[in-house]
Amino acid sequence: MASKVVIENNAYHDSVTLMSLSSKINSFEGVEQAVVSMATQMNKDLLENINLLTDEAQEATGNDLIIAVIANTDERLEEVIELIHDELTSKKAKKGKGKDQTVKTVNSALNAMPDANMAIISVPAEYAAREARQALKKDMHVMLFSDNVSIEDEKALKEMGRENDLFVMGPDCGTAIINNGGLCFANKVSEGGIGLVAASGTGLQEVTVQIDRLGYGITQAIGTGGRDLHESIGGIMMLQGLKALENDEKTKIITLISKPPAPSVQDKILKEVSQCKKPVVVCFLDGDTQAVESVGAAFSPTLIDAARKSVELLDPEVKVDTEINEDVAAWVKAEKAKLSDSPQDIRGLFCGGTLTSEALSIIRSTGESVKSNVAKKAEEKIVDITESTGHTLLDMGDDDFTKGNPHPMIEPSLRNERIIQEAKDPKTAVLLLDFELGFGSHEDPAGVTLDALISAKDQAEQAGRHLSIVSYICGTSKDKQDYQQQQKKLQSAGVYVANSNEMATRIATMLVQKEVN
Amino acid sequence: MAGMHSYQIKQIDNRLLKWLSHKQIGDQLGTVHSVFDKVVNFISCDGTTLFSLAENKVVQSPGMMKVFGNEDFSNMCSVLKPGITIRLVGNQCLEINNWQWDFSNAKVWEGDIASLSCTKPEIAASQLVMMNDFIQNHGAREGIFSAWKSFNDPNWEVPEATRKNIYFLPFLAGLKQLVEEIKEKRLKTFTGKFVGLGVGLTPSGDDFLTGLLATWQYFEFPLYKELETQRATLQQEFKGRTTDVSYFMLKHCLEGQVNETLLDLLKNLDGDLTSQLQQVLDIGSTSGTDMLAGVSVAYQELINHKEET
Repeated sequence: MASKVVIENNAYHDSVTLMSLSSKINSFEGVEQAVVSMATQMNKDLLENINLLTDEAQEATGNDLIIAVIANTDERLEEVIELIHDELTSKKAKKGKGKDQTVKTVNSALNAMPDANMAIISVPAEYAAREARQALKKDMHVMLFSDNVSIEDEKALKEMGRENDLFVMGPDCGTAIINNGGLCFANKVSEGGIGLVAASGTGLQEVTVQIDRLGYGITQAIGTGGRDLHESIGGIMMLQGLKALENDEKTKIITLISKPPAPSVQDKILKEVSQCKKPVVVCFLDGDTQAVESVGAAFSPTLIDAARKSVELLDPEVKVDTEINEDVAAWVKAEKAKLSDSPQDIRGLFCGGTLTSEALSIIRSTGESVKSNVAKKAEEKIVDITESTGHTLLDMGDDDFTKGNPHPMIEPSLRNERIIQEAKDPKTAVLLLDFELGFGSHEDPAGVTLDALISAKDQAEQAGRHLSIVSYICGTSKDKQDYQQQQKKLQSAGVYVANSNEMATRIATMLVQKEVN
Repeated sequence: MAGMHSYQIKQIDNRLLKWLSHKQIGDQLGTVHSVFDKVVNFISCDGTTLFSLAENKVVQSPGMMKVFGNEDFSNMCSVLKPGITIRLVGNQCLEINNWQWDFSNAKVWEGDIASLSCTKPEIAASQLVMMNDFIQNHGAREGIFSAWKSFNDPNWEVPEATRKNIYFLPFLAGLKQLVEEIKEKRLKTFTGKFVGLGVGLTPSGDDFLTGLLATWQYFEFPLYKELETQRATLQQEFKGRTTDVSYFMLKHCLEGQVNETLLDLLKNLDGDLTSQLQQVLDIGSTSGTDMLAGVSVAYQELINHKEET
């Protein structure tokens, strides 16, 4: 074993930064122990317990930062220490105290980069609208990552954008791919002929990923923020996105994604779709098939179907297989044989909100009752998010879960405790999980969940039950996390990795229903 | 300094105002200690006082002044470095690196626990249940939470990753020692098990102690009254065992001053607590949760004491 302790004088970092970093490094292969903390006496005492209190560390004060690592080789040790430095430096740089030129206002950002034509804004809600307005006044498109912006501000910003032919993506917009550059949470996908506009973050990720997997690509993926299709906003940005993609030469097919819009907004959008010169696929989860098809567009009830229909419209020669293959059927049959005959539940623990909504829609369509924190129907709303009853699907990226914590797409291990809780419930037969790869997401989402999954299965076995775990990895082979490795990790724990969120949900449903479909 | 624009300070801590009133125009008050996005801390020349200038949105705390204009404040922060001096200039005006901040019209904030109503809220088990449910459902997981949960529910199976966390067992040991000392009717060394324990700027152990000691202080818990007689010794023990910022938070607490959200929670402990709990929870990344865990443990002991008597 090799160990090293590094002291950084007068270096302040908040607890979440240091805890997340320690937790991340501790999960690395070859790392025995990693501590990143302020050098208070108590923390130094703890270092002494693990034989890492060097003379230099002993001299450090409460205002200094200690980085202490034990690894299996010297090389691994150096790699890890360097990685910790990089992470802390990049955090500092993001906060404006690094070597790069940093700025505090939109105006000074524009002075530093006069050719910029888009501002990504992620500031507390009370300042977000003001900063977005400033950016629009400077002729910049806006991606507004901030949430909790008032609907009045959103409307005013979007009207201002429309008047000036500028996009306002958001507020609460988590995903976009513009000119092949992923913004916030996005996957690395191929360029091609399909343009997308979506009022849904993971929905947009899933459709772009599936298009890429089918061997095709996208022009632009424009996010609008989840409230764009509300009555009071009127779909301003979806309409603007539709128009922009219609006028974009590279875009051959246009795909719209959302949860069901307000009826008046749907009418407005479908009216524009009816006049659009390019083929349009409309994926409104729980949407109105007839209304969409009546204007000549293709309707998709699921995200993967939207990807397939978009590809089929782009290339009529393509053959897309939608059948459940033999491997899936065999796995389901083998798992069902191990599951109890008594009625048992699916417990879905999701990082992606739209993936939760899609799963809810699919399970409901099979006639099963289901509860969720993303449900719109009163009878499907979960009463107590801390306790699952019946089939339950939780979007763990919802504000109720993320208070004081990073989003589970950034730190998926926050879901681990709940995985164990569900595994202990004798009613749980199937765990349904999603993992997101790509820009913005955790570097090893499967890896940080693995122990919890193994432990969940073990605990169920010890209680005389079998626990099936079905998952979906929303990612491409080009994503930085290495899709194949992620898949292998999950499979090594006996987890089934489906090829879409829809398929994962269908498999989970098959497992708890009497007959294999 | 003719022609230099001065910016307005919106609110100032009463005790800080009194401290400033003893200074002469032209005096160097101290130097910049640390700079964050929303707060700048200053340390007095003799090192005995830490005071801060903060954005309006920041929770009012002891030793703090809050400004009106966040953008001006932010622009100043971008050029400040530790060691830059702060002076008293003109009539109730501070100068830092050519930025002047006028506190002559600032609203005075009173953060003393003693200033709360003498009629204390009734101690009730139902309030503790409400508080614990809130922490359980909404609390940040990274700080003292797991130890607090395990302490309250010994049957809870602690996840493997939590067990591996080097802070989990020390926190749990601290909680157990605290209860032991209460059983023995004498608070002795339990504070030493918490001070400086945790990773961040205000380690979780310090936030926990702040919530705990403030609650006992307000409700005049008999054992705390004895502990209070050793205030100077405790302050001396805390010094050097934690970060500067955290030491001063504990020092203020021992002297009867805590942040406005904690005060608000204490004085409303007999009603629906949700909004007060949420305000505390919103402090820092894990600090709010750690403080609430302290309030919860203190409140449990108040209930036990009430039942005993």
